[in-house]
Amino acid sequence: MLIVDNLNYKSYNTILFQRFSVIVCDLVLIVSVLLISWHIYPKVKSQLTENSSSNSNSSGKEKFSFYLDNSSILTFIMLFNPGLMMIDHVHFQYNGFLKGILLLSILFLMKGSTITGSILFAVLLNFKHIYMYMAPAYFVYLLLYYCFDNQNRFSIVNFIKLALSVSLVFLVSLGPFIQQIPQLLQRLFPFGRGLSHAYWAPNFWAIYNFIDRLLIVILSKFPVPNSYSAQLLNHKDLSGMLTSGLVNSQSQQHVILPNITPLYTLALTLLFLIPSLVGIWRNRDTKSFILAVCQCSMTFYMFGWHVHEKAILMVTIPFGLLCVTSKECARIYFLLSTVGHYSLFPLLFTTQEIGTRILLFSCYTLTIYILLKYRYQQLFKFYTVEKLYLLFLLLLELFNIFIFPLYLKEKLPFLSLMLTSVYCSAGLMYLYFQIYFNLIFRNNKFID
Amino acid sequence: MKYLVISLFLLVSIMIRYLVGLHSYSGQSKPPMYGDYEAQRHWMEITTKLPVHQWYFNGTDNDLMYWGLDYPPLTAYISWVFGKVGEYIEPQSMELYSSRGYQSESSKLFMRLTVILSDIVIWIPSVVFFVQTFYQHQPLRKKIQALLFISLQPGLLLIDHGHFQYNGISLGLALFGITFLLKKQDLLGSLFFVLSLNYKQMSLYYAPAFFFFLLFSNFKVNQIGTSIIRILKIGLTVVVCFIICWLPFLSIEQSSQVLFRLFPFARGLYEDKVANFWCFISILVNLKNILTVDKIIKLCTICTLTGLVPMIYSLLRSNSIFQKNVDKVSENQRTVFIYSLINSSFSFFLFSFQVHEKSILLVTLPVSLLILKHPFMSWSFGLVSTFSMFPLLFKDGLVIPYLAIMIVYTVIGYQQVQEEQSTKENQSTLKKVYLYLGLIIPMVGIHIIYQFIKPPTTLPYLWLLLVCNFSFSHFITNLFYFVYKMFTIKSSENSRPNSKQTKIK
Repeated sequence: MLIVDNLNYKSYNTILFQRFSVIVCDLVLIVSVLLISWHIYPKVKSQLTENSSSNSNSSGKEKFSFYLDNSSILTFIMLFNPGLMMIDHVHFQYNGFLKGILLLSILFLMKGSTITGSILFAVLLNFKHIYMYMAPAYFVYLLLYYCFDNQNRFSIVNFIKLALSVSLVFLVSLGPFIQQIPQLLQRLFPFGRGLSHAYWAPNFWAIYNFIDRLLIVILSKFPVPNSYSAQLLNHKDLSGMLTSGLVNSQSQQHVILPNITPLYTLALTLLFLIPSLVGIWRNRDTKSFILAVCQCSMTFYMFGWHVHEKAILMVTIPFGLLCVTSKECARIYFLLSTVGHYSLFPLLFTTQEIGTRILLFSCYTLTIYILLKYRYQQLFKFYTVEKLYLLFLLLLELFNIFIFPLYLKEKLPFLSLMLTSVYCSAGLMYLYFQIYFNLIFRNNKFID
Repeated sequence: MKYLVISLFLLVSIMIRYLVGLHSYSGQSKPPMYGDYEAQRHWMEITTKLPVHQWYFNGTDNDLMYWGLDYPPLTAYISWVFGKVGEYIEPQSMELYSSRGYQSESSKLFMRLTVILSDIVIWIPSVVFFVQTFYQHQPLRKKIQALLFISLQPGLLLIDHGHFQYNGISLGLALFGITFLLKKQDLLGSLFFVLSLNYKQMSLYYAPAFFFFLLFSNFKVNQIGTSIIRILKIGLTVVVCFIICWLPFLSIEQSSQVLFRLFPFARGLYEDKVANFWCFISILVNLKNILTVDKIIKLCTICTLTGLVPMIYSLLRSNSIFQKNVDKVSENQRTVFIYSLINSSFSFFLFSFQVHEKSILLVTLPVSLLILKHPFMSWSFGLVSTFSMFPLLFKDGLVIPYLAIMIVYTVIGYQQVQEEQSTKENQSTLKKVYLYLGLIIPMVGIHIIYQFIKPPTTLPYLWLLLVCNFSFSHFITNLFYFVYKMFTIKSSENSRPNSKQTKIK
């Protein structure tokens, strides 16, 4: 709640009102996080008494168990998400509220009241259509476990109930705009905007863009006698591409590598979407469902058209639910949260906000590290590559704060953004395939 | 793991301070005088740009009417250090004349960082040192609780990092002094206390407690020779330390001017409205009309000194001068010393002349030190003392951090206090009634009135007086409570086996 900062003095009261509206809406998130963590880990008080019976102080025992208590860890991890803090309370959006609805919907599905859960999801879709990213997981889950009963017979009654309730929500929401549907769709899905955002969201296309830029530099420095590339270089206005390519996302085009159209991204997304649903096919439990939700949104995030960097929260927040289930999940969550939330840093760029972002981020990261380390003891560890990656992440941030603005800003104004994006993108790609590897080959160990 | 936890504690403390610091400061965008922030910045400018002998004098380049230096030399030296750094980072923010009322995002950030830095270097280590000494035998969890509670007092956070001052330095130095005395290292203790006095003359509030504690704990009737040597040693340390601090100002002319700047009796009985006795009395009679300024000063002095009597008596009793000298301060003596700090600072705050509302921080420090002994009183005092500064924070535009910190403090603190009480059980209903009827409900009520209802035009300061008198009633209750505890400490001696038991464990 302390994060109501950066008040612009000119219209103090307006901003105050806006900030408070976010905080009030966040109550939904708080309630849903508490409900869901109590649901997953009902309070078992006697659980730890056996371990620490040697401790003489009886009152100290219960209090220490608080740090080991799964539901408390989960609550902390979900509630103090630095990405959410940065985007909602500094940058300004209402994500907390929407994440709250998402969590409530997952909670109802877990409890077995499928209709309520799916209605909530439909409501969520009508708040912000970006939650379409998760729709495939929901669709498959509902289809398999609600519309088919235990004997794999299609239950038409359930299907109709579900379809009716969901379409009712859409009807209520879209009803007043029934005349303007095409215009609405165009507003919601602006395919004209370009493959990547001004700041490349750290996904597959960021690397793709980066390679393209790299090839331009290399080819213009060392002209290859290959006539094709020379032709390409001559054909397009190079100087413009190098300097303004990042800002002018409307006319963003690739020079060396083939240009990407929305259709390609759709095909790639669908291709990678299929394995992410494997978990749901295999076993009917809610944790696989949550995993599928994360993996679905991550697939869209990785390969989608014009993805916003903020969309990473749609992966990190549901994944947080899993981090106390197994050591593997905890490791991946820690890395995912570190890289994913770090990739949001360019959103907060003023001098004051730099301090805010670093402190919020490092407090959270350090706390979850301690919590998870405490929970898993020796089992919670990283591979050398990952340690190196984190070290270089630190160096990258130091470069972005100290070296870049002093020495390089004039010459290459977008270097810092590009490096952040590409570096995070590499990390996220690594994690994405890690999750796939675990999902497909070690499913049982992965989710306990 | 241990280092991780320590670094987490540091990070969180920095974060809280930083986030408070994002809000406005005293006098932001309020020409021509601005506020305390401007005072500190102006001192950096004066000390870096002018030669030492001009610092305290009115001159062509030093207009004393515009935030002239009125703190002791150590403040000036530290301002000089920060000023040098500031000059390097943003020269135009430290320019003579042209920088008055200078505002920029980066210079604000720099100023805020200097406060955070001084907290990390002086204030937090002093609290750690104190907790390690005074609560030595408590379990680690309790130690951490005490550490968090003392170092994150809401009033201190809001005044230092919101309103803008460096109280962390003076309080931290004083706390170092207190802790060394508790460890029976009297020379170091008095050294630090002198440093604290030389940073901010407000530390004089503690001086009687320090003086009498040092006197009684060292003066033993049957060892007059050694006692006198000990006391002389302490005296010598104090004098030498003073001389070193005042080295550039040792001429009569210089030192009298500095002293004149430090104790401006001409200013009036209280600044604005302060939650002390005189403000309370002013509802009934207007002293300024009845008595001359000289008489008022005399009256204040007499009242203050009278207020010191219980403390002197208890110190005398706990450090009985007829026994042999021992090289350790007993648990009992330690606690009485802290009570006496509370008593003496309270007495100054409530009865002395020319009191600032911010001076309540000097009382809050020793009260908060007793968190593990009197959790409820200590916690609720933090609440009231911060509340008493609300009008000031309101003026500075710090309502939002104030509310946020207070809510967090109330909720978390209350939970901890509850846990503490569940082990004791006694008096808990009484305390609950006191808490809700005496504290929470009136405070929330006054906040609502203050924010939304305009005072009647004939009495524009009505709400202010309400805040002051409400806080005053709590302060006087607290004073009596702690004096009572100080007197009855012998009887609580029976509970000492408890502490021995924990020792054995």
